Amino acid sequence: MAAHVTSSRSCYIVFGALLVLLVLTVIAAGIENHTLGIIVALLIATVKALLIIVYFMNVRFADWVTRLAVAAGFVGLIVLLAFMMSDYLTRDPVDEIETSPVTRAAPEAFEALALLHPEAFAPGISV
Amino acid sequence: MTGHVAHHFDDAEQQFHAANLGMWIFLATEVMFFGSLFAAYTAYRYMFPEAFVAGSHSLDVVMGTINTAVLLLSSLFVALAVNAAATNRSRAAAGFLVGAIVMGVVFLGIKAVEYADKFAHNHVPGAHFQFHRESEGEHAVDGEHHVSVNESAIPGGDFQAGHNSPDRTLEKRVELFFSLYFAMTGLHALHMVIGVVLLGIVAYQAWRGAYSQTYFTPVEVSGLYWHFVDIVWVFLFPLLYLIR
Repeated sequence: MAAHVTSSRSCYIVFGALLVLLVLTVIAAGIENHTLGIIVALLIATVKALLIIVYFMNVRFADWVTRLAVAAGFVGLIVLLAFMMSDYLTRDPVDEIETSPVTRAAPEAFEALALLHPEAFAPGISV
Repeated sequence: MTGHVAHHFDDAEQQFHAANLGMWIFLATEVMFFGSLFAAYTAYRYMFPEAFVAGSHSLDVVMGTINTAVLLLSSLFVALAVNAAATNRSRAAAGFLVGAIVMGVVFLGIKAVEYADKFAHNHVPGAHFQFHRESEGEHAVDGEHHVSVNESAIPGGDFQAGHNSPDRTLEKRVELFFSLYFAMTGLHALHMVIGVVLLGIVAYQAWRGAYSQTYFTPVEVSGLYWHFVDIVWVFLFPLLYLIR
């Protein structure tokens, strides 16, 4: 069996690059803008992760089935975060909901509902 | 040398690929395991950016940076160990693996010092949690999106009159940051402990000369696990220590 692994020389070069990126990410933490800071920090972390995956984890020698398995976890995570944040980022601020006509009328509607169907409300909850 | 090839594989190479693929599928589940915590982190940081900045400022960036470098160095050792094992230098592989284990233990030691500091400052979530904006050297944040949030949405929120001062609210939200800090670094540290044991077994086998060009699967597969744990830390470090 032919052994396909990263050479020692490449390992040292990648390690050097990782240390440079570590210094960069600490320097980039000085960015005052919150959103820009997150983007830069995540970009650097992603490059570091890719270096480790491609070189240290020998994915550049891997067959396509293995590469698919490599991508699967990260794609799943991106789907999770994207769908979750598509909710949070598009919610109305709570203040607006509280002052909308619908929510202003809600307590009265709730009270009326409780009078009509007391059995629908758990004991102990006073309206 | 075909003695290590199980009967349901054609040859050593096919067996190696199967083991490798299996490990990557396991790591995909690990990504989702840690991913749920990253998702919780994302949602709460979006809701309470100010509290996350305040909590992050109380973490020791120097210790975090040293720990990141220590972990990257351990990953280098593991990569070199795989290279050594695959080029018929089993004894050298054992040496590199011991280097990686030492770096792993150093990482856990620094983490223990940091945890002890958190206990000393009452920054551990629970009944004795305390966080004071003034004493923690809090700085104002520019450009953060202010999301108004219903106070009752805060876990453990205190609704009694007089307990909903802005400082009290911030304290509750910073407690949330530290809950995530301990959950994420704790789960990561648990993986490190498992990794140290794993590498220890492989290092012992390597010292006995068990690995060669034709068979180094355990070195490669446990190496993949170690590198994965390193990658998790690569993301944890900026997200927990470097928030502005």
